[in-house]
Amino acid sequence: MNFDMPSFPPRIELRQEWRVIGLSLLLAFLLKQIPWQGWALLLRPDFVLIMLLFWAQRRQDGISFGLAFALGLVTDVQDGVVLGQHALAYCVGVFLVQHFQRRLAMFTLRHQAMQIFPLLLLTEVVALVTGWISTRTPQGGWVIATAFTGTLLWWAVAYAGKMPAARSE
Amino acid sequence: MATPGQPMFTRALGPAARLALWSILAIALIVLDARFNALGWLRAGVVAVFYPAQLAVRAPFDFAAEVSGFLVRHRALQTENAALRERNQQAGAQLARLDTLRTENEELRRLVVLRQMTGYDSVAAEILSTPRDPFSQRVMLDKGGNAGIQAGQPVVDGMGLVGQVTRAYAFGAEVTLVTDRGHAVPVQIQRTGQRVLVFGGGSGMEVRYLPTHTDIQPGDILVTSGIDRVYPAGLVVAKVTRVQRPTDSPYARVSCLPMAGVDKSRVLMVLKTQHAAARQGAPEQP
Repeated sequence: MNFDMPSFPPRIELRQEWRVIGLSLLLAFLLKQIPWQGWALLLRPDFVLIMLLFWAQRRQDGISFGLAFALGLVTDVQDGVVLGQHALAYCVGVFLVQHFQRRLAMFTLRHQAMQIFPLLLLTEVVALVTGWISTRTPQGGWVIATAFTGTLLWWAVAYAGKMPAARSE
Repeated sequence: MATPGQPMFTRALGPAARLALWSILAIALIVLDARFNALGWLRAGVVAVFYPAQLAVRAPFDFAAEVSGFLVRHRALQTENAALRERNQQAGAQLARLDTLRTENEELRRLVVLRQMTGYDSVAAEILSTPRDPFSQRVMLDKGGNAGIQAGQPVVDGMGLVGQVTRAYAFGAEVTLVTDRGHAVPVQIQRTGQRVLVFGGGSGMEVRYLPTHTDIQPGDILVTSGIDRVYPAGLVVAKVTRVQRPTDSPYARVSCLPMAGVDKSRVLMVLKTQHAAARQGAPEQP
């Protein structure tokens, strides 16, 4: 295989693939349940969102909006924010990644991460603005910090996704 | 919108159309939740479903913390344990003092034939998580309706008022802290007895709508006045840190700091006030 031009990884068998997707999303969800505090909480990337976006980019058919919506609702409930805020943001994120799917696949990991950053930023801004309109003014602009950490996490996840073990599944 | 790789004359909706549909659904949810407050059941259901997962992850958290680089040192744990013990003792002592005060107070009230205010039970609950929400200051507790916690009940720690239960689930509760911007507490200046309103201000608190000539100075302690029938009278809330009297405004600018360890305490006490108990329909205790 030519590693200089990263092509789409060969499609793994459908049932197995869903098992991997389910497991990775579950892992991301559980990671979120750790009682994060202080700076770690502020900088904590949204694991579920990153996993969703990763699969949206990696699978040729993308990820269904329904799944993104449902996971967003769970995030809304757990953060105690208005219902629908993250659901909308996740859907927008998945749509954007799927729209730029081919384009993203062309790049190396580093450039991919740089392309993902504005998408993550936009997703955070969507959540922020919906919250802003529906409830009240935010207490600080640090929410944007997670777009940075999220980009780094994407890098790590995409790197793991490119490893031979993940390909030959 | 043409997406590469998609068949040309497909009958299924395109991604943009599907995104639009889901967005409409999301906006409908937001409107229902924010304007009409109609989705409490959905929230409660989701919380109930994922509560076990939260507990399961919390259990081996020490291990997870080490793995992810947040080293919890033995000594830190020991000191924290000692501090907690100390605080526990303090709380016990304060509760004992409260008890004596209450009995004394009851006697006095009976003497002057005042409206009788019975004492209150309390439930100790641990902070389960701190939601990351830039719009408010809140914490989630690990006990809810199962321990008799209801929305509206005041929450205190060993040092003073922490906040109020704003949502109670079956096995958890959401507490809005006194530092939340949307949170107001009717208080009294302990020194002068003047009634004022203290609002949350993100990290600190502030007294608003106070005429510039009011007698208030740094170091004054604010205690709940009890006139709202939500908070029992006499709970310590905040300490005045700075008083500014601008010439261009009819109101003084008063900054305060909460007395309770609003972002430090891990175990909080939820007071089952008489008001909440009456709403519950429980028999009033003499």
